[in-house]
This record gives sequence, C-alpha cells and structure tokens, in this order.
Amino acid sequence: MEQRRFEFVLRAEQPIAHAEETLGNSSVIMRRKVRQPGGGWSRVPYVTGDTMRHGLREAAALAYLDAAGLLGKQPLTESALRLLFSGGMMMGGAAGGTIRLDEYREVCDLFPPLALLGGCAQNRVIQGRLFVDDATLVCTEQADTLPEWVKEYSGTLESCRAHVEEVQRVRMDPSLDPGRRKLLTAEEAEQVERRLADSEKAIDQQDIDAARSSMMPRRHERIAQGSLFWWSVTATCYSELDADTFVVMCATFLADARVGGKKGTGHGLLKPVAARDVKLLAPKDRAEIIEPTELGPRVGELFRAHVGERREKIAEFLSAVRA
Amino acid sequence: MNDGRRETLASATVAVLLEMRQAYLAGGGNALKHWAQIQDRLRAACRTSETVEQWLTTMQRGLQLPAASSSLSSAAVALAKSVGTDAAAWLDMVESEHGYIIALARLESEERKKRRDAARGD
Repeated sequence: MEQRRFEFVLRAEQPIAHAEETLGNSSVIMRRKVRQPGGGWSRVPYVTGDTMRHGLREAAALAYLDAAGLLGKQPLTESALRLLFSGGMMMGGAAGGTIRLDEYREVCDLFPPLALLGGCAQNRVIQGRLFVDDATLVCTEQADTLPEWVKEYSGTLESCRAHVEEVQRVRMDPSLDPGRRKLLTAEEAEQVERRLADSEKAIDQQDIDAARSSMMPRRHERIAQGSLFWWSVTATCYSELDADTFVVMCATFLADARVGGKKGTGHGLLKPVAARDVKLLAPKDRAEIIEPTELGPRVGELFRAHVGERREKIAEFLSAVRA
Repeated sequence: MNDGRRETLASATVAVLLEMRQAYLAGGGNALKHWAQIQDRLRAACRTSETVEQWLTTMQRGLQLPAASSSLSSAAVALAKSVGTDAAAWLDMVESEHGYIIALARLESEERKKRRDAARGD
C-alpha cells in the first residue's frame, strides 16, 4: 500500500467564473473564510475540491470508456451514466440493500476508478481513497498556507482582491434588430412592432417600467486570467493498477481542465505549470503528460490493458448496473 | 480593529457615500432605487479593490458619477487619510458590514434632511 500525492501550480489560462451566488443580476464568485496571521478574517476566492474531484471523475470515466472501446459506440443506461459521471446513487426500494464482498470486488475490477473515487453501486456506498483539495488562490491572504516551493515559483504575491474583476455582458434581444425581424412570421412581426411602438410611447410619457428595454445586462465576477492556484490530490493505492488509474485520471483531467461556469464563452481553462512529484511534458505531448520513465510502467498501460481485456464483461456490467 | 477605530472609519465611509449619493441623484439616478444601487456597487467595489483609492474610483465608475465635486473630494481624501495603511481591514469591514454601513448612511441623510427642513422653517 502507498499514498501517492501530486501537487500542482495551476494557471488560469482563461478567467475563472466559479460562482457562489447571484445577487440581483450580478453573480458573485466562490469565496471561503480564511483566518489571517495575527487575527482577523478574509474571504478569499477559490475553486472547490468538489469541482476538482468531479473533473477527475469525468476524466476517469471518459478514459475508461475509451479504453473499453465503448466511447461513442454503445449508449449507456441511465444508471451506468450516473455511476460513471457522478458516482451513482442509492436506489432504495427492492434493490437489495447490501452488496456481497465478491460482488464489490467484481465492480471495482470492472470499473477501477470506482475503487479510488468511491461512489454508489448495487445500492451500496463504496468508500473512496482519494483526497482532493480545493484549488487555493495564490495570494497574500493565503501565504501562510502555501508550500514554500509554490511561493518561490509564484514570485510576488498580491491581495486576493487584485485577482478579481467584475465584467458585464448583455443578452441582445434579436427582435430589436430590423434585419432579424424580417425572419418572423407576419403575425409575430406585427406583435413585435406593436411592442416596440408601445415602448417608444412609454419613453415619451416617461413611464420607465413600460419603456424598459428587453436587452438583459448582467454582471459577473471572475478570477482574472493568469492567476495561479495551488492544488493537490492524494490517493491511497493498494496495487499498481490503482497507481496507474490514479495517474491516468490526473493526466486526462489536467490535459484539458475546465472549471466553473461560462465555459462556452472563454472561461474556466486551467493549465498545470509546475508540479511536485510528477514531471510535466510540453503541451505538444499533452496526451501523455507524465514522464513515462519516472513511474515505471508506461502511463495508462496497465489501466488500458486491464480494462481492454474485460471489455465484454464491462459492456454487460454497464447495461445491468443499478446506481 | 477596536470599536473606536471601527466607528471612525464607518463615519468617514458614510460621509463619502452621502456625497456620492448626492452626485448620483443630481446626475439623474433613480431616486426610488438608489440605495439598492449604492449598496450593490459598494459590495462589488469592496471585492475588487485593494486600496481606498481604487475603491473610490470603482464606486465612481459603478455609479457613473462625473468628476468628483469639491465636497466629495474632501470626504474622499479624509477617508483615505483615516484608513491609512489599514486598507485590507477596512475593505473587509465594509464588505462584511455593508448592511449596517448603508443603514448608517441612510439615517444620516434623513437627519440632514430634517435639519435642512428645520432651518428653512426658521
């Protein structure tokens, strides 16, 4: 048995919009309370361990399906989808209550990431062996909690407030564009024209509410591009397969790590820029970001062989699993 | 931060907010919703500013105020002097107690109105 721990400095290649709540039409980023040396408290932005763990789980699921030759080829049942991508859930009712030990071993053999991430399969909660930390913003308020090597790498630290910006976006109403209105049916076009005419009259009568534009401005906070985060993940491994599965999970996730919201509009991408206990390869080699010679067996070789040998049983398992 | 210091900084902050409020209303700001607007901008400015100077600028921008009047300028400089090197602590205080700060500002503005009305009556 061994505990393997990877520590990373992650850089926000894009701004990070990891929201905690919305106040009116302003979204506020996730913050946690941190006690300052000498007393006092600050609320410091961060990316939750839940988000990072979910990223690992998704990456592991996709790598698993790929290794089993099932990616895109065979539709999953809803239970299988739930098991792979969110850890499953207790089914209750006549599901059976407990899982026998040999059944548990078989489930973990057929789906190795489950042994590390934990989840719920065959109506039993399976304990995980993975400790996933929050991604901690590298800033002065967190200076006391950052490892020395991270501080040396990061250079001058600034207040967490320097890392946060607030931006505004507007959802344009297409019906305000005369060109777009030409695409409407005659009836719809008339309704829209009538609404716009009423709005114009309301402006003349200074009726602010009736004259309100249908455009939707909204603001959101985000952590600025280029900000650094410190992140660590630890797995308790009982076999070489566990260790290889762990590395595949991390490598696949970090090859394209996206967190928070607004991913479709230029937010969320994190890139590992420094690490401890693992050597990262250049972006062109991102498919295998772990230096093979550092870890003995080639990364993913054991995992892919194990899963590939069981692909037929895996297909049966995924079609019948209750999770 | 002890209570006395807290009170001093709260008063200086309220003085600035009242000047900004006056500029906001004079510029055509919505009289019915202006306190909510000021509160929203106050919170946003606390979360994204590192210094008093940045906070003042962010507030001005958020409320779309013109260049500072002489009374706002005096209040702003007085606030910056009061805060001194405690910007981080002051920002934490204003952010975490923004409801109270706005309440103080509102009460003070009502008191000033009563005094003005009384003076006019005399």
